[in-house]
Amino acid sequence: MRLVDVPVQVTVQAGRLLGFRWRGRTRRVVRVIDRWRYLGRWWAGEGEWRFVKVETDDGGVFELYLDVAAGQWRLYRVYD
Amino acid sequence: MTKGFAHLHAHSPFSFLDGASPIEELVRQAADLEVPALAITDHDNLSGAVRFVQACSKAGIKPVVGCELTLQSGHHLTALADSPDGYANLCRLLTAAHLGHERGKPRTMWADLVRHRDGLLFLSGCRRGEIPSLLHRRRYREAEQVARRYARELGRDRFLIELQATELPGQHRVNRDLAELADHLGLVAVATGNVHYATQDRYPVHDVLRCIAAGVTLEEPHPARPFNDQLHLIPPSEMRDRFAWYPAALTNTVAVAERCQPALVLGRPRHPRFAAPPGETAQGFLRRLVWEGAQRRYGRIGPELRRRIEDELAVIDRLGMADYFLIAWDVVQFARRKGIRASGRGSAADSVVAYCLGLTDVDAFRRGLRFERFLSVERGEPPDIDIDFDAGRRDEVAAYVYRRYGHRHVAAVATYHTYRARGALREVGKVLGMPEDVIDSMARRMPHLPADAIPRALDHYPELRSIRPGADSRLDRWLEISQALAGLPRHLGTHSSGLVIAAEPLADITPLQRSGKGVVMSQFDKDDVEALGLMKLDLLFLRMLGAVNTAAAAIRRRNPGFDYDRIPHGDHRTYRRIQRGETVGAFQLESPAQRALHPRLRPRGFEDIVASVALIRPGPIKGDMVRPFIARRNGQEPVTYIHPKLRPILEKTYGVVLFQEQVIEIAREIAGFTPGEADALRRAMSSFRSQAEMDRIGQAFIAKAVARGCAPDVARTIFGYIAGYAGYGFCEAHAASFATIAYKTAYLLEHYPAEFYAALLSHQPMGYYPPNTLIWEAKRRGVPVLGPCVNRSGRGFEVEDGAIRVGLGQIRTLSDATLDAMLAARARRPFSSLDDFCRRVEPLTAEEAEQLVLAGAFDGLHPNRRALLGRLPGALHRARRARDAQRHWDPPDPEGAAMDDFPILERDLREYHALGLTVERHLMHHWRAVLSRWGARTCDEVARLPRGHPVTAGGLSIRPHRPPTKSGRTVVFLTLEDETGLIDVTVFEDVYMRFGQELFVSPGLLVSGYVERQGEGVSIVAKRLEPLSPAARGPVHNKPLRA
Repeated sequence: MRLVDVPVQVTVQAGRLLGFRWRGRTRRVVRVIDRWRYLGRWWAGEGEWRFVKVETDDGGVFELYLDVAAGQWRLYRVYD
Repeated sequence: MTKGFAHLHAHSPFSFLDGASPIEELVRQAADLEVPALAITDHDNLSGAVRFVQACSKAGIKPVVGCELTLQSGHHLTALADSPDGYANLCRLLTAAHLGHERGKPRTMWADLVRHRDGLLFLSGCRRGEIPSLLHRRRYREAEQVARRYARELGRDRFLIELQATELPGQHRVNRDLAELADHLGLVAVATGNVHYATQDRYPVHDVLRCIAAGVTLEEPHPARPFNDQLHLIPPSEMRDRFAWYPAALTNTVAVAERCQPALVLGRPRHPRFAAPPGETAQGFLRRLVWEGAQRRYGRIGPELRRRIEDELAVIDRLGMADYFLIAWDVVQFARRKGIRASGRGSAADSVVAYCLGLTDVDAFRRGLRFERFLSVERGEPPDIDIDFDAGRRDEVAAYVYRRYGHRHVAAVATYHTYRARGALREVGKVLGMPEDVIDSMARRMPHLPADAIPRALDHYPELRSIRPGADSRLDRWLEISQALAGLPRHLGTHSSGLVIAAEPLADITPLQRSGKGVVMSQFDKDDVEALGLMKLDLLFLRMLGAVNTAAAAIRRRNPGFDYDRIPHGDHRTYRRIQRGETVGAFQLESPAQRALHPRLRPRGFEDIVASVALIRPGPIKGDMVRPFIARRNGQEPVTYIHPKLRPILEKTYGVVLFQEQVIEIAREIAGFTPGEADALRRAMSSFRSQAEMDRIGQAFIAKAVARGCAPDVARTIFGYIAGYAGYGFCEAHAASFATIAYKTAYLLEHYPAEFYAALLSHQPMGYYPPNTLIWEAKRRGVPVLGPCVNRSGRGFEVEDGAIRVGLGQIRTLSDATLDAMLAARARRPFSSLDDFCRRVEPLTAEEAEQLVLAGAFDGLHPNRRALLGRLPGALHRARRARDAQRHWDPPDPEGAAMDDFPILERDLREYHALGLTVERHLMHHWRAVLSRWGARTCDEVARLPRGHPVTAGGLSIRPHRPPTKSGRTVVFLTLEDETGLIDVTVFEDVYMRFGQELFVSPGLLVSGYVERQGEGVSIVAKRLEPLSPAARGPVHNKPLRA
């Protein structure tokens, strides 16, 4: 498992993550394993992060999150 | 199928530091979301249940009463009562969980759960539930086994699987596993929100509360802290989205709520039973006792008195209160048998029956007091019999009640300690990581106000002027969150006086738990137990009754014939003292306001003392009753009545509204208010909560009075009296009860100052003034004061050859165990030296020994305190060595090098720190030289100056406070104390706003202004204030004392 935490381009439909692009390759989400919400250091102005743990079409498992305040998706962790 | 969604798992603030929205807010939000039912499920208690049911009933929502139980394994289980039987079982379970385990760690045993499962529904719980926690760890087989056991032992129809919408890592997977498990086992599944606050914006408050509970700051991670802001009342539409994959989990919640019948029945009287003698009913026995008592009290019983007693007995009978009166009578009888001083107070003194039973000493018949004030068929409320006992022996009385009625039928009443401004600022400041000195300074400057009054306080009070919100985001957050804690309960405490007594076992009606002192108490407070229909007996403690007993015993040692109960009425010297306002120490007569009143009122009879006790209260003060009363009493103003019907009501108070019951009688006589309407008026007046309510009553009063023939302008003026009185006032019966003690203590003060002051000092904390003021007041009365002495002092202050000897109990940090050891060792033989003392007293800490030296307790053995302090480590070391070697003696230390004692200022300051008072020199002695240079006068000199004379004086600042005023403006009153006496100071709003920054925090003040005189009373009206700091002090006779 590696911590990555980089911005990624995603495809979202009706709020659901369909796929994302990382290292020049587009990966399609085949299964949502888990999702949760985390609220950071609210006293320091951090907002909500919406996590999703997915399995992709190439068999990979990834953890991504949407930084709600910034409106930005980031790839957080890669499960080897 | 039932549609919709009901929230079946919600924590109120009574989850103590784990619920962030007031109950009313939770219920209001649930109503706004159109949720048909809401369950309260606090951690291991039902303290919020009564007000939750009341709030739901107002909002039109179905309340479900429940609890989140902690099982013996530490797992959680949600329980909901579906009927009164279920509620009773929940009470029994919680009682067993609390009383059967360490205080603060309740655990429900599985066997109890199975035994008391009837009427309860069980939900599998949060992540800390046994089944969800197994599923989180993917231990599926064990989870299934546990679920099967729960279903088998709790009942298949009573055990439900709980899915939660918490959006935590792993929760979605566990929810699917739980749903699968429910389907597999044929169990019902419900979705819940595990609610901890009403709306998401309360999340920071919840996080801060969890930090307080865990003892961490915001920057410190802790598993007890919330992970996200999803513990709010999620709207049903959102729940539909989250559980679209399993909609039955939502509709099942409504079916469960429908299954739950009202479980907590309020208002059903649950009267206690008194065991009357064989062959007699409680009513018959009460009648017998009352008529016997009447014979004793009155001798001859005329027809009017007979009718009054019969009327009272009829009401008591009709309301079924005979047992309650007998229980109160029995308690007082016990106290009398044991020589414990008791005195009834409050509205019970409106009852002739209570007087005949000896519950009170106020003759309600002779005083014309109305019984309806105490008890009426129309109100139908349980009476409140409040009895004061000698504080030191109140627990003996309570223990008797437990013995007499059985531990299963008696419990103390709880109090909910809620956040107020100071406490909230301290705890939130710590969590936010604010520096300790900043927190301390802010909290000390903040007046005692509700937490939501913080913004108003910052605007209004000059001592908070330096705090400017808006300039610093951390400060703003601190203030905002502190404010948001307003009214949230922090923890459960024991009510100081209330006991509930019930015929049924209390554990069927209320959960019981143990207090910090080990007392068994209900989880409900006094209002809630009343709503539950339980009867409460208030066994109050009055330290003054203890002081009176101590003083009387000391007086009898030199005057064996003295009897406190036979203190002569109308003692001239006592009245002269009261008239001069020299009443520091006298019960109810010692505050600056009372001392200022008496030289103007010039009390010359007992009724004047009753009046003065009642006058200095928020109601009469705000109603501007004080000045007219004095003028009319002293014949300087004619006594007039705006309406002839007012004459009989106000005649004894010279046409002025003084007592609370006069207001009620005016409403009845002028406007024809029914007792119920009059009671609504009394509540509106004393709670001073709602101006709108008062306006509504005012309109009703005027309309009714006009309909009864009163001119509209007269009706308006009369209601003006009533509205002006708004605020707390004494009823006449209560004032008369207190006035009796007030007069007698003034008598003791006049005739036996040494014994009385010694007793007052031994029973601290009590009264208005700190021990230092009392000691110096005694000295000014010519009573010599001797410092503490390891060989002479007792535990308390004692009279020794006409002088007051300071008690060893006064020394700060001295533990009871050390004190006991000292007294026991001394009983064998006196201490001969510091070494001897250290060797023979065990336990003894270095700090205790140090404080004894600094307090002067060894002065009799060695007068040089600094030298003794220097020798202390060696003495303690040698004592330890000697004890270790089990030797009975050790060679004493050779005299150390000669060492000067502390300079006298340092010696006195250290003594003050150790004792809370100084014996030889008043602290202001050290400022005198510099004060004189500044032209400041002593208090004694000020008292001799004419009215209007400009003056400057410095002294210790005693009890600065801001009482309510008739104008509504802020006026600060304080007392300056120096080595010559006391002088009261009035600080009006403009001066306070200009110079008040340090007023409430500086121990000493320099006040400039002018002299005010009223009668024999003298005070200073301040024009300028400055703190007196040690740095401003010039060198006084600061020569060291040589050993």
